[in-house]
Amino acid sequence: MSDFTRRLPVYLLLDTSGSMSGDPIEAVKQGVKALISELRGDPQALETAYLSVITFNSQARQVTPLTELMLFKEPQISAGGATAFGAALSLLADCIRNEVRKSTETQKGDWKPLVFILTDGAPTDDWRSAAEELKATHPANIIACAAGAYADTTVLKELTECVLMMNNLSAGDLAQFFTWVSSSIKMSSKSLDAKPGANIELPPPPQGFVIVP
Amino acid sequence: MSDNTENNVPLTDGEVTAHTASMWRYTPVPEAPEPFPEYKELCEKYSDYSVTAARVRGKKHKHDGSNCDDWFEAAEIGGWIVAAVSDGAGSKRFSRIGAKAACTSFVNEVRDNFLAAGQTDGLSEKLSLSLDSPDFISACTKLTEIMQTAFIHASEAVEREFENRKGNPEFTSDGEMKLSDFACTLVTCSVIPLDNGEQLSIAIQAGDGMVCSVSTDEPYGSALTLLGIPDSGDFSGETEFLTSAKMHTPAAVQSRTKLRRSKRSAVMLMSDGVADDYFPNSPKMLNLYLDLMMNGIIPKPSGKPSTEIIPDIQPNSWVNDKDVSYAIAYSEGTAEKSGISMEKLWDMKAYLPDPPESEGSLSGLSGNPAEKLCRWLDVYLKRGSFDDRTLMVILPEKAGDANG
Repeated sequence: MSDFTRRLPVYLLLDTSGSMSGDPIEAVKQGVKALISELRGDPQALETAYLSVITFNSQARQVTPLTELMLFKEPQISAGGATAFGAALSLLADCIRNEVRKSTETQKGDWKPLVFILTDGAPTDDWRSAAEELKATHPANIIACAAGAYADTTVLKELTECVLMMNNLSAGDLAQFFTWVSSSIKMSSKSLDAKPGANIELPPPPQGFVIVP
Repeated sequence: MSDNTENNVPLTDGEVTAHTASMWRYTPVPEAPEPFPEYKELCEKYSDYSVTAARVRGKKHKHDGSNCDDWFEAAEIGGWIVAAVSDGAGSKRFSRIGAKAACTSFVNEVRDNFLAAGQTDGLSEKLSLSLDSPDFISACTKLTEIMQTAFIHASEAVEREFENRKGNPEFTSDGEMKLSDFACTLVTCSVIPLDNGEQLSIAIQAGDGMVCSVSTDEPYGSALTLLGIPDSGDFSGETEFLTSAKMHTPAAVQSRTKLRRSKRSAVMLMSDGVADDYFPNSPKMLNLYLDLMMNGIIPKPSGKPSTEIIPDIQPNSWVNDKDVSYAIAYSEGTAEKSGISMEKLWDMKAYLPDPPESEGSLSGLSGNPAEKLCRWLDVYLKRGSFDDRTLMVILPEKAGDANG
């Protein structure tokens, strides 16, 4: 890893609670695989994007630290337990603090991180203070996706303006979500010099996905 | 892919760029709307300075088949040089149009007003007076005001380009057009040779990029003066633009103005596509200067190459035609290979190796330095560097010469 290259840090926050077990978690694993393979075909993504995976069920865990695309290995993911969304947000804030480089006199900082959250339920822990901190400090551009009938979009709306909803947890919809994530990463790495505070540009969401107003 | 992927050893930048080299596509500039040329070069010798400049379309634009968003302009008025470089915001559709309008408007207005001021006021003599002389100060103030006014007018010129295209279906077919679609930076400098053998440099910068002066007879620690003040936020890429509302007040332009009276020295202006590759700009603008000398783009002081210096030469492929590669010399790699510091390499610049002469080197191009500069900008390799690249080098021609 170079000390001088400006990286585009990308964090995937994946819900691995009990309700994701079975087909949904398998679809998520396939999705991560497809995402990596897609990004590895893009020279710009290969030179800039770094990927980390944080999973949350009864606890939150960074299963892959921020890693160069060429070295990224798909993490072992399994589903079971509750939905410690607040713990995941706190962990995300810690990871960004520790892993993302800010600009200094002698170093060009990383690009502003991109965070994709996928959840199918409602938090089972205290999430509000972690969400408030993220919203106040705005250390990343956060895109949240509520998957299936039981996902709580109002919680996600507390965290970010950018909330998507997919109506069911089908393998097809999850695959589409990851395809969209990869297009978003590619598009972001192209519009990296967007103005401060300006909304990042994302591709239109896949069919069947609704932008939560 | 490298074996390193198996055991999580971090990859070197060279390993990553070697892997991506063949993946970068070449797609021509799109035909509409308002296509801009792929390349732009300038090579002029005037009485006191030579101006060499080139602009190349970045790899990401070549890959996607989009336009180059950089522009530059330069003019000479009785030995005085006026220069501007602009970088259109990468994600904005018509920023190239803004960039060209900003440079053209600025350079034309300053040229006209310098011409008028120079003829009427005998400014040249006053500018050579001692730094605390009222006549010197008033002459400086006059020139600075001309540039600052032109700088604000450049922003208005960008707005006019936007207004002129309103309602034109060629520009609105993809959706509503906004002023921010024309957003661009502006890096400017006037270089004025003085009767006493010195020079006055006046620079104004909005947004990223860089303008600096280089005194080659000074040591590494003091040879460089940054004349630009780039705006930057916490994270990379958080830049301001000429068109930002807060740029339009005289106070804002004043705070972005720098004056310097010095010995005759080289002045370089560039877009962030080059400046970011030499970060931190102080002192790495000097590494850029060494790279230009090592690749035969600007002359090095005469001296016999030293065997102590082992050049780092990399074959870098050309995105436009991947069967073609050029032997490019790198100063930082050279210092590393030779086991010497950049300070030492700078001191030894008269003894640098001659530019690569082998087949497929820049030396094979015509003698025109702008052509060499253009190709060098097009092929030198750095990981994560795929933006448009523009560089203008203003070199003293006479006694007191930086290249002595």
